[in-house]
Amino acid sequence: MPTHRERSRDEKTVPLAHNVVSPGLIDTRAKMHAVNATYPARRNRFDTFLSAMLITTALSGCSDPSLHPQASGDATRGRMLLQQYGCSACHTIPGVRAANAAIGPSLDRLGRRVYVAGVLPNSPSELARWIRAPDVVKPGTGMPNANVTERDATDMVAYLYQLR
Amino acid sequence: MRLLVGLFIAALLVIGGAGGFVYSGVYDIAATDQHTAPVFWLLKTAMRRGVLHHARDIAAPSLGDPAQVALGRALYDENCMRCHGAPGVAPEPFALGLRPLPANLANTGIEWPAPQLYWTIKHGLKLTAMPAWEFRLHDDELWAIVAYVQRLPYEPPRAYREARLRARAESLPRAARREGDELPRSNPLPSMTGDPVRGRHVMQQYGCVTCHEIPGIVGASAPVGPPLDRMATHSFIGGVLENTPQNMVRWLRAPEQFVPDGAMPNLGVREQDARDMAAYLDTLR
Repeated sequence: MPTHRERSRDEKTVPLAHNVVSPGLIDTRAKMHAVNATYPARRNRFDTFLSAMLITTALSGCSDPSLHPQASGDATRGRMLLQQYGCSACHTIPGVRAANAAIGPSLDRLGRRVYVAGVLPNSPSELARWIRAPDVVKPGTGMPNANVTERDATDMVAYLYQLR
Repeated sequence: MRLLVGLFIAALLVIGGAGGFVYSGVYDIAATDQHTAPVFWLLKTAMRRGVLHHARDIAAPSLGDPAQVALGRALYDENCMRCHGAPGVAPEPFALGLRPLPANLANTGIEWPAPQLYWTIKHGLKLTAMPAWEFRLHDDELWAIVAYVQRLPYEPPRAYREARLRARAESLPRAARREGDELPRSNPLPSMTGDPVRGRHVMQQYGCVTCHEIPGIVGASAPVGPPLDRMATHSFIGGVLENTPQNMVRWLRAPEQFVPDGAMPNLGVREQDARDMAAYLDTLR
């Protein structure tokens, strides 16, 4: 839950972000990230802001809005697809109904995870690559190739990246 | 007036109690175990707040030029790797005995902005083993390390290993050096089964907590590798091995045999320690 301090800081940054991102991105954090990517020179300001948020949330016990990249894609559709492709049969996935299996690792906080499958640096594109071809990325893995289409993988990643 | 006197006496009791506790020496200062959860929280919070505060006016130069990152990687390998490890490379055994354990920087590089990283490297941190590098390295070298630490989380573990092999072609690979690390033959293994209580303790000693979230262990909340909650019910270890206590022992001792280019390093785990850790993980259901 955002603290008062975070919210007041959030509001201040929004007008700045309006100019540079598509209207489809409604998440303030996503906007901030787009700004970071577009104007590296402004990074310090945002770093300060982010670190202030980081420590505020760390103190209040919430998850950190870290500097991980944000994923594009339809998160709502992605959540539905995580059911459809049977991911929930093996993984615990917060927010996905009945996804509490522990055959593979829990996907809780996957948006903050540094490595995917222990071999790939976590990024939206690398995570999508893993979902689409786990056997290629990590031969011998227990994770099956579920013939996930590129778009479906993008949407699943969008949902998984909301887990922080 | 009576209230004031009451408050005064209460304050005296608190101060006297705290002083008496410190002076008695009963608090466990040994590095063989982690602080209690409240003390750990207090120290970690003080550290994080302090770094944020002291680095607040530092402006980072532009970072990430390939030559700068390469310089940073070489400096990292020379100065930082022994304590912090690197993707797929374990810290030196002595570093695993430090408390607090040196952080796995794959997560630090994501969570902390450049000015705070620079400040921490330059000035070090009291009460941790982090030295001040200000008088050891030049300023542009400090920034090169910052640039590399920010790059590190986004490089496959293989990249570090390859760069390192190129740079250190003459030195022996780590796994080979550890071949003689076994317990002496004249000192047979205490038991062939694992002790979960000792295993939980040992997990601190091998630095597992710097990468994994592990229920029941103070300070184990890093998101570098997967969380180990309900590990006993998982079907696979490392995604590739059937999850049995025997296989867990094999995995803990030599993960690179099962996932060659993985981020999980060979930590030189001894047989009995692996058995005990496997026994603890087997209790997580």
